[in-house]
Formats: sequence, C-alpha cells, structure tokens
Amino acid sequence: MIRYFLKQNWYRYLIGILFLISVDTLMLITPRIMGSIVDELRSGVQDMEYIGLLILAVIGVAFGLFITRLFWRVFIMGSARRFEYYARKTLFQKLLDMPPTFYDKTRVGDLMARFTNDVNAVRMAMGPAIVMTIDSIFLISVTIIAMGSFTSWELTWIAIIPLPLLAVVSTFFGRIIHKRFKKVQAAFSNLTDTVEESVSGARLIKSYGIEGLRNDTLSEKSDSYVQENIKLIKVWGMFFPLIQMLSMLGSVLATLFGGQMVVLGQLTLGEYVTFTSYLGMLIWPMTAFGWVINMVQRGRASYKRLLEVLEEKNNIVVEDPVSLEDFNGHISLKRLTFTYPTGNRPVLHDIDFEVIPGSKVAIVGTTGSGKSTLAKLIARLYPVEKGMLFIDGYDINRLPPEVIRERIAYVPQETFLFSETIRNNIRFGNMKLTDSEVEKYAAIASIHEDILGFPKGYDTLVGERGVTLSGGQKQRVAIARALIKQTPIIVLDDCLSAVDTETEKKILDSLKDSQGKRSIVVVSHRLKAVVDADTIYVMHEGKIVERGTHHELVENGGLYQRMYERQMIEEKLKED
Amino acid sequence: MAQNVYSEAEEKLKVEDWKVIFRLWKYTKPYLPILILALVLIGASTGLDLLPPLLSKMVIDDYMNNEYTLVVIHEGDSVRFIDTEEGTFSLKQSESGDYVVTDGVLQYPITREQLRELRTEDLNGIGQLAFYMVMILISLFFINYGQVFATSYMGQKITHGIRVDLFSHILRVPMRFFDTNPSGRLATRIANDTENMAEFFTSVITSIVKDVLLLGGIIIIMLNLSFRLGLITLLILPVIAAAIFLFRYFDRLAYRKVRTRLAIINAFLAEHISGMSITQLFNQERRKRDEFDGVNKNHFKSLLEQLWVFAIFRPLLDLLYYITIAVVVWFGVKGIVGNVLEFGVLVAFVSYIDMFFRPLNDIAEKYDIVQNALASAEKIFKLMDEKEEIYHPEKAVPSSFEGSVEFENVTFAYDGEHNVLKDISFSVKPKEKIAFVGETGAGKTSIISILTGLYRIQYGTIRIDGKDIYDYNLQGLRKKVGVVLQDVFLFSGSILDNIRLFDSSISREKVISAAKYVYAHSFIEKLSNGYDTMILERGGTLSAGERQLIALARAVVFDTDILVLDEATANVDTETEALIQKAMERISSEKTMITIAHRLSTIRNADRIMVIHKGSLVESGNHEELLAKGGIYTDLYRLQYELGDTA
Ligand SMILES: Nc1ncnc2c1ncn2[C@@H]1O[C@H](COP(=O)(O)OP(=O)(O)OP(=O)(O)O)[C@@H](O)[C@H]1O
Ligand SMILES: Nc1ncnc2c1ncn2[C@@H]1O[C@H](COP(=O)(O)OP(=O)(O)OP(=O)(O)O)[C@@H](O)[C@H]1O
Ligand SMILES: [Mg+2]
Ligand SMILES: [Mg+2]
Repeated sequence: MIRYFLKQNWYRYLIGILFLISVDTLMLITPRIMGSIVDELRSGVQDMEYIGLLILAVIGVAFGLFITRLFWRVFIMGSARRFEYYARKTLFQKLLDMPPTFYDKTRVGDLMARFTNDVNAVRMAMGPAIVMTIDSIFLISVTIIAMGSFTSWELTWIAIIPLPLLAVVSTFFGRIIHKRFKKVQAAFSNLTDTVEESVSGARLIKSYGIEGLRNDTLSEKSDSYVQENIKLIKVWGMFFPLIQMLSMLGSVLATLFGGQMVVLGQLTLGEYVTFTSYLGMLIWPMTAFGWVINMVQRGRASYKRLLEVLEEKNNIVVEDPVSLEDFNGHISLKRLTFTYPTGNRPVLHDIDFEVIPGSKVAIVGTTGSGKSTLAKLIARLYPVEKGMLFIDGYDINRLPPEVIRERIAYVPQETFLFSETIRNNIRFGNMKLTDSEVEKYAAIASIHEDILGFPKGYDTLVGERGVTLSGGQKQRVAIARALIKQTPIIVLDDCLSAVDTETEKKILDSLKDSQGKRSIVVVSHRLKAVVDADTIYVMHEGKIVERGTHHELVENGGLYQRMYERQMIEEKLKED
Repeated sequence: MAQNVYSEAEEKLKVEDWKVIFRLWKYTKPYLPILILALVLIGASTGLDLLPPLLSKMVIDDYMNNEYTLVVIHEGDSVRFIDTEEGTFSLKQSESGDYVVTDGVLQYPITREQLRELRTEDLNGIGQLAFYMVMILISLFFINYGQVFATSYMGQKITHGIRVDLFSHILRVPMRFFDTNPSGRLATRIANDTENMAEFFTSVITSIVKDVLLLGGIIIIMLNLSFRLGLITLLILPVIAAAIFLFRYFDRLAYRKVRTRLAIINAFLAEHISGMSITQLFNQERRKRDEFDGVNKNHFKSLLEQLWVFAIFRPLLDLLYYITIAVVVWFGVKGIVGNVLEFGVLVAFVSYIDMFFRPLNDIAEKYDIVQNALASAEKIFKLMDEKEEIYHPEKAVPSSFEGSVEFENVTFAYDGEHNVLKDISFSVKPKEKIAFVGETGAGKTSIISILTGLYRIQYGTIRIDGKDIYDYNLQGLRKKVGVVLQDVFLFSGSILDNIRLFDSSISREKVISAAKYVYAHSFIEKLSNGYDTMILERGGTLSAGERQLIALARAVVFDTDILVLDEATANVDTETEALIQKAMERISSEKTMITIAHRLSTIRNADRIMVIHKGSLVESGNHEELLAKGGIYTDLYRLQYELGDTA
C-alpha cells in the first residue's frame, strides 16, 4: 500500500524535500550576513547604508524562509495526510470486498481502531519521520564535513564516536518499541470494541441494570490499555534521555580530547571553539534521529496491523466465470455438505434441494437446523465446494456473487437498516427510484400506511439499525427494499416473524400476485405461511428429514405433522 | 446525491476554554503529587541543562587559556621551564597552534613532553571537568527519564479517569439519546478523543511550564542588559500575541472540524461494517465506496485546512524572529555609532533573542497539540453535559416484588409530540400471566419500554406494587424486571458470560440449569467449546433462534419477580417453543409474566389477553371472552387459523 502510494505521490514528497533543503540552506546564509554586519562594525568605517542593505537582506532571507517553510510543511505533511486518506480508502475498499466469513471473526471496534489509531501512526511515519530523517541526515553530514575540514579530522572522529553507539541503541530500542507498540494498539482495539458494543447494547445494559458491570469491564480494558502504554513509556521514556545523553557525550569527548589537544598545542583555541559550536549543531539532529526511530517503529507496527486486514483472503472465488445471460432460476443442491469456515462441524449434511422456476418452496425445521445456512449458501455468502450447488446447471463457483445477487433477492433473518430515511432504505438497491415507485413497493410490503402515519412520512430517520421502528416495521421495510430489485427469485429467511398474521398474509399474497414467473423460497416457523408451497423441506439437525407438499407431509406423520398439530390443535380445542 | 445523515451532524458548540481547563483540572488533581514531582524534575533538568555550557566555559578560561609566568633555565643544550609567580616569560600559541615560550623578545620552542609536564594540572583539570560532565549527563538521564515517565504516567492515568467517567456517564443518559446518536460517534468520543488528551498531559503541561519560565528569565536578562533594546524586543510581543490569538481561533476551528469528521468516519464505519452483507447483497459496493470516499475526503480536507493554519503560523514566528533581529540590529548599530551602546551588548542581545524565540517556537508547536486536545475536550465535556437519566439511587427497591403492575391513563410519545400510546389503563395482579397482542407497530414494545422507565411518559402513572415506578431506584427496579428484548443483543465474550451478563457471582451451574430450562443446553453443548465458546458482538455465528434461547436463559438466570417476554420465541420453532413453555410454566408460577407475541400459540397460557390497536388498549379478557366479543382479537384469530384451515 505504501509503495503504491509513494509511486503516485513521490513528486509531492520530492517538492517538499526540495523546499526542506532550501530551508536548511537558507538557514546557513543568515549567520553569514550577521557576520558581515559584525565585520563592518568592527572595521570602524560603519557605512550605515551598507548595514541597512545587509539588514534588508536578512529580512529578505526571512521571507524566503517563510515561504519555503510553509511549503515543505504543506507538501510533506500534506502528503502524509493524503496517505491517511488513501489508507482509509484502501481499507474500506477491502472491507467492501470481504465475505461474511471475515466479519464472523472480526470485531467492529477492532476494525475501527485500525482505521483511526493505526492509520494515524503510519501517517506519523510518513510525514514527520520523513522530514526529520532528511533534516537530520542533511544536517549531520554537512556539520561533520564542516567540522572535519575546518578544524581537525582526528577530533571529529573522536567526537562522533557516539554516532555508531546511537545506531546500536536505536536498533535495540526500536525493536522493543515496535513490539510494545503493537501490544498497545491491540489493547486499544479491545478498548474500542468494548466501548462500541456497550453503546450499541445500551438498551440491554439498561434493561438489566448492569451499567456497573459494564463500567468495570471498560475500566479493566482501559486499564490494560494504560498498562500497555506504561510498558511502552518505560522503554521510550528511557530511549530519549539516552539519545540525549549520547548526543551530548560527543561534547564531553570533545572537551576531554580537544582540551588536551589545545593544552598540548595541537589545536588552537579558536579552532576548538568553532568545533564545539559545530558539535552543538549536531545535538538536535541526533535527538531527532531518536524521534524518527520511535515514529518509524510505531508506524511499522501499525502498518503490519493494517496489512493483516489487507492481506485477508476472500474465500469466495470465481473460477471459470459464466455470465448467465438468460436466467431461468433453477437452483439445485446435490448432496451438499457444508461446514462454516469458522466452525468445527458440518451444519448441513447431504442436502438435496431444488427450486424449480416459478415455484414456491418452503423450508421449515427446528432451531439451528441449518435453514438460514442453506439460504445464505444460495445467495453465495459462503464458499461451497465444487459440484454441490448449481444454478441453471452451472456450478455456483463459476458465478460471480454480484451476478447471483442481481437475480436472487435474499432477505436475511436479522433485519438491518441503515440510519437514513425510510425512503433511502427502501430504495437502497437503486437510488434512482422515484418516490411513487418507492411507495408502490412499500405498499406491496404493507408498510406504506404505517409510514404515512409517521410525522415525517418517508423522510423519517430510522436510527441505527432502524431502532426507532417497531420490529415488524423494520422487517417490512427490509422486504420492500428487497422487492425493488425485482429479481426472479426471492428468498425470505423467516423475515416476517415480527409481523402480525394479518399483515403477513397480505404480504405473501401480494408477492404471489406480482409473482408471475418468480420463484419464492420461504423459511418460516409459522407453518400457516407455507401450507400452499409447492414443496416443503423439513430440516432437523442439518439434514432434510422430510419433503413434500403440505398434505403429503401431514399424511407422513413426521416432524412436520407434529409441529403443525401443535400449532393448530390447542386452538381447535379451545374452539370446541 | 442521497441525503445522508453523515453529511450533516457537524455540531456547533461554544465552550469557554477556561471552563474546559477547569474541568480538566479536576481530573488532574488526584495526581497533584506526580505533577509536582514532574515539575521539580523539570526544574532540575532545566538547571542541569545550563551546567554543561558553564563547564565548557570553565574549561576554556581556567585550563586552556591559562596564563603562565615562567622562568627559563638553561641546562646545557636543553632548556627547562619553571612556573613561578615572578616569571617573566609566558606561554603563547602561534597561528599554527604550536606553543612557544616568550617574553616578547626571546622565544623558545617547547616540546610536547615539556608542555605535558608543565600543564599536568590543566590536563587533570580538564579530565576532572569532563568527569563532572559525564556525571551531569548521567544524572540528566535519570532526571529526564523520571520526568518523561512521570508526565506520561500521569497523562495515561488522567485519560483513564476521564474515559471511565465519560463511559459510565454515557451509559446513564436516557435511551432516547441512543436512538438518535450513532454508536460509532459515541465510541469515537470515548476511545479516540480521550486518547487525544493523553498527549496534552504528556507533552504539553510540563514543557509549557518550562518554556514560560525560560521566557520570563530571558526577558529579565534582556531588560537588564539594555533597557532600550529590551523594550524594542518586547514590542514584538503584542504582534506575537495577536498571531497566537488568531492561530488559536483558526486552529481550534479546524480541529473541531477534524474531530467531528473523524467521528463521522467512525460512525459510518461502525454502521457499514455491521451492515456489510446488506451492501453486498444489493451490489451497492460502489455507491458505499463513494459515500465513504465522501466522508473520508471531508475529513482529509479538514486536516488540510488545519495543516495550512499551522503551516502559516509556524514559520510566521520565525519570520517575526528575523524581523526582531533586524530591528534590534538596526537600532543597536545606531546606538553603537552614537556611542550609547557597547558592541558586546548587541552581540549578546542577538543571541538572547535567539534564546527568546526558542521557547516561543516550542510553545507554538505545543499550542497546536493543545488546540487539538481542547477540541477533543470540548466534545467530551459536551457529552458529559448530556443529561443523565434520573435513577433515584436514594430510593429503595424491595428485595422482592409482589408483582402487580398498573397503568393509569398513560400517554406516551417518543419525541414528546406524536403519541404512540394513548391513554392506556390496565392493571395486572401479582403472579398473573397476561399477554399483549396487536398488529405491528401498535405499541406493544413501547409499553414494555416505559414499564421499566427506559423512556419517560408524558401523562399518567405507572405503578409496580402500587407505587409509582419513579419512586423506585430505577436501576434497582430494572434488575427486578427481567425483560427479553425483541432485538436480541449479545456481547463479544463466552456464551456463559452472555447468559449471566458477565456477573461472575452467578455460578456456572446456575447458568447451565437455566440453559437447560429453555432448551439451549443441547445446542450449546455442541459448540466447539461448549459454554466457553467465544462469540462476537451480536453473535453472528449463532442461528437466530439460538440467540433467542440465550436471551431467554438470561431472563431465567436472573430470576426476577416480573418477567417480560417481547417476541422472545419468534425465531424459535414451535416444537422447541412448546417445550420451553412447559418448562417456563414451572418456574413462572411464582412470577408475574407479560408476554408479547404475534403467534397466538405463544400466548395460549395467558390468564388475560390485551389487544393493543394503534396505541390504544381496545380489548381485554381471556381467549373465550375476546372471541365472544367478536372484535379485533377475533379477526386476528380467524386470520391465523382460517389461513391454516384452507390447507
Ligand atoms: N425508539 C423509538 N423512537 C421513536 N419512535 C419509535 C421508537 N420505537 C418505536 N417507535 C414507534 O412507535 C410505534 C410503536 O412501536 P412498537 O415498537 O411499540 O410497536 P410494536 O407493537 O412492538 O410492534 P411490533 O409488533 O412490530 O414489534 C411505531 O410506530 C414505531 O415506529
Ligand atoms: N457464521 C457461522 N459460523 C459458524 N457457525 C454458524 C454460523 N452461522 C450459523 N452457525 C451454526 O450453524 C447452525 C445452523 O444455523 P442456521 O442459522 O442455519 O440455523 P437456522 O435453521 O436458520 O435456525 P433458526 O431457526 O434459529 O434461524 C447453528 O448451529 C449455528 O450455530
Ligand atoms: Mg435462521
Ligand atoms: Mg415490538
């Protein structure tokens, strides 16, 4: 990612660096001018006009410095911030490409932490660190050369003995900082995660009065973050004074050896003074070097964390793609066995299943028997082995997910709405939809009148996940949202569970009306919703235990019949 | 482009700095000893910092530049030099650096050995000073380490304090607040904005103290040196003040934007990560990418704005520095020419101006961090000012409720305007089993929400055991009313902890027996680590029914006197549901139970059924009575069963 970014933005850095070097060069000019002024004063002539000119020159250089400083910052730091933008963009693109398996094992807060703190740490390495590196390399080399050639090379070598030491110390500490910073960031992820989920789960927390316990959890997470930070501080808190010490050690060596040389007449006093003032100029770049190491190591640690996300593999792969020009909508599963990538046991065994175009197929069964899993596989949310699932005769592995999703509308069991207006939620799949079309589909999903009842109608904001709607309202908005896709196949995964029977019947009826050639796959616990299905599959513990029409199944006297009886019998009893 | 909640939401706020700082101070107070220690260490290190230059000066003056008065003694071919008071010869360094002994007329070369012998004291002195310097460096090392550690430690602890406070505060604000604020934004405030403040304490407080001290000292020195030039220099101060003032204004403005927009990014992320599968199912990746690009770019732009503010301000100080120097030199030169100023003073002045600007530059650098931190602090304190729910902690909750519930003319609107519940009155006897039915959106869930005081009602009274619910400690009350919410929420953590809600005082056995009651045990057993299987937020790797079973187990484990089930088995098959109901009957005989369900089979055991229609209670009675009435319930019932009968 960094490489690509640099490839695109190297010129910004280059311009910035040129400005930076101009700053350093301009900085060398003013002492010269000041020197000239001093010389002029000492010469005794004291030409005020000339001095005035020199002073103007100082001001001129000052403006030059202003401009160059302004621009190196804008270019280099600006590029670093551009990187921040770019990194987030790349990461989000990655998230958009990741399949559900990834989200099954990734925490929201963790990702958020990577998007903020880690990106930030990398940015620091991409901006200030670069500036300081260049600055210190430039200054260190210029100063060393000046020192050596104007005074004594011998003394110079002695005085820069700390430099290699500095390198050793930096590598050593850098490694530790790297490790500890990674832990800090991981702890921050944990913290963000706890915060995020506590805020999303506020209703539950309040309902059970467990604010106190949550506070404890957060306090614990925050504390371990603090502890990790302190561990890091222990290291870099030592690192900087150490660097400072090393950089001043040069002066001590200079005093000791330089002093002897002066005393023994190997060096003039003037040379010695010049030498020490050069040494003074080395202190800052050497300290800066410490900063650089610190920032770069942090940046590297965070960058690794970003790469962890970026290098995640998408397990939904398309092999030998076909485009499905004429879509019939024939789905068939042949002896399908499926284990979730994150799971440890097969949740579907030997499933034979078929949807004939234009038919209504129902899946019923016990809790956790694999109904939703089956539906998700058809929508290509999880990878399926070859030779098990076919759509129009093509192995599903040959069909790109978007091709399938254009043709199959899958309404998940858990309703998710975006915190936008109801209108935008309904036309989610096609923002160009006109208001009257939106209303038409809302009416099919029997939600139109409810919406009109809201003070703001279709412009009502629904809150996160749709919290300000009732359970049934949410589900119907989700159905309307799926209907606008006008797909030949629609898969409803128990998504009318919070809708009253009256409304449910209306919706299912209108689906049938507008159906024509449309196939419907319904997963439901309410058997009354499926009695008219062409085929009903009954699932239990990952297997299809029965199949047939309602009548056949009732005759069969199996699980279906028992469930049906249970739903009907006591009512009948009461009626009698 | 679509209207989007993320495009607005830039909050306007005005909090005065001193107020913010005052509130920050409250968090700092407990760490006062550390703060003082840090300041002392800073003082010490500032002092020690000044020593090495002094020592270097000593080296030069006392040892290198030592004056020698020598006598020259001839011993055959060689000469010897003796250092005595009355010597007439002195040691001079020639241009090339070599020493000669001379009295102005005679001149003798001196060998290195002779020098070494003659100047052993100098050499020793230098060695000694070098040794002192090393000692100083070592103590500086420890002092600096101590100071960095102390300030960082303090910063971390203070931030921790603020974070914990903010978090516990947020959990106490009314439910309504959560309906309207994206969780990602709140999370940003608690995690990132507090994080942003740590730096404030770590690098700012202390170094600003140091810089201000330095500044003051230098100003005094300058005024002493030359009052006139000093005043001229100080003339620049108002200009700097104005620059700082402007900078503060624009920088803060910019940082506010940055912080707001970062929160928007996070809110966007939090939501879209949770809803990623919807985006993918609808093939809306491209649109969402563009939308994210929008919020991301907005944030980037605000960062650039801030960068420009700083990029202009920072070199502006340097510019002022040069201008000051130019002005001072100009007047200084005039003074010298007019013989009112010494040359040395001017030179000294120039170097003091240099020293004067160094802390100023440092302050400028830190001031940027301050603005960033204060922008965060504003946002944090604004959240802290959000009104908390009133829990009445002083009011008692009985150790157990009889379990009567009474609604009297209750009218309720979420937004205070549009009534969702209208004039509802009913009463539930202790241990009674009642059920609410009604079409979707009728207001059933709302009744439950106001029963536990999650939202405030506008009119009427709600009583539990004959006492207004607001006369109880609300939090205590909620602990006594077990609610299974319509939307199941799971935390990331083990199944075990999710059932007992992290309350480790509830034993594993108790959790397991509760799970068995609601028939969750068998599926939990089958998971890879049984009860210790870790799940993520919202439990995406469980089936919907399994999640509901966990939520049910929760309610059972907490063993409350009033039990509320809001569509608690909507995603559970009827077979399992029937089993659960049987089990629940046993444990709920001693409880008041309120059930909401669309599936009429779920509520078959109710003593009384209440029908809610468009926010009003329209019918109530048992199954037979309601059927006899031939009202809404009859319709609902018919629909459910006639549909079945057609088969
Ligand atoms: N947090 C909220 N803020 C604002 N309005 C809300 C909120 N929650 C619900 N409403 C509105 O109040 C009305 C009643 O909703 P409620 O959730 O009580 O219905 P319900 O009877 O439980 O329906 P369902 O059977 O669909 O769950 C609905 O019109 C809904 O849009
Ligand atoms: N993403 C996942 N990773 C691992 N295991 C999963 C995942 N999703 C579901 N499971 C497991 O697979 C099994 C089948 O789940 P599925 O959601 O298909 O059940 P279901 O028949 O839809 O049940 P319900 O009626 O409760 O909705 C369950 O035991 C569940 O724990
Ligand atoms: Mg399911
Ligand atoms: Mg409800």
